[in-house]
Amino acid sequence: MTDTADNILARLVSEPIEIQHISSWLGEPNCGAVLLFCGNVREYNRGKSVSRIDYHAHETMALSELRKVAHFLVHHGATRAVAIHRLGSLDVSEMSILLGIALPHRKTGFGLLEQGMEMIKSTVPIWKHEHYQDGTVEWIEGS
Amino acid sequence: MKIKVLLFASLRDLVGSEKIEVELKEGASVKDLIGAITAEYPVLGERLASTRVAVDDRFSTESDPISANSEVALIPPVSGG
Repeated sequence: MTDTADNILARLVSEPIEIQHISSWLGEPNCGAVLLFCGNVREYNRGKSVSRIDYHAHETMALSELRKVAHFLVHHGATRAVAIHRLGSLDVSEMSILLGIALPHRKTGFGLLEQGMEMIKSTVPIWKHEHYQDGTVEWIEGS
Repeated sequence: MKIKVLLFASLRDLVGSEKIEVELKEGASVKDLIGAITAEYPVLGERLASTRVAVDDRFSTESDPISANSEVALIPPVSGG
């Protein structure tokens, strides 16, 4: 599922996220800064060894909420913004999320990117179904 | 009117289904929906306090109306990223 405007890109994908392609899309002649946040599957969580994470979503709403995040970023100073989340089964170290922005200067970008991630962590209906090496499985739900 | 409600994450496991159906009167609100779910699916009871309701892909408030063709979903605390 993809949602694009001239300066935003929001996607839910089932294949590995193509970071080089996205980084190129973000680049603009008037932007001296391209900031990317990549979230990867962590090997340990809650004191357990993780074997994989299955990402589930309310897909139509998740895409809509990702788009809102990207819009927020361009309305608060980014020239371009990308919000991509991968769904399905991911192994340890695979990238689950890419949030990126391009701006004329870097300074405001770091805080803006963090704000975008906080929005994603609270509003985008995606859930981790975490599988552990000991054979147990747990839904991870935020607070 | 019969309303289908989509379930996600642990709520699916609790009920054993990806969706439930509840009967509501015409003109019902999200608050009425929560009341009906609480009565018909007690297994979800405690969880509803931390669960948001989405109507047509938007987070709702208790006073928002629900119509027969609304797409309704229960959204437990999200954990993407």
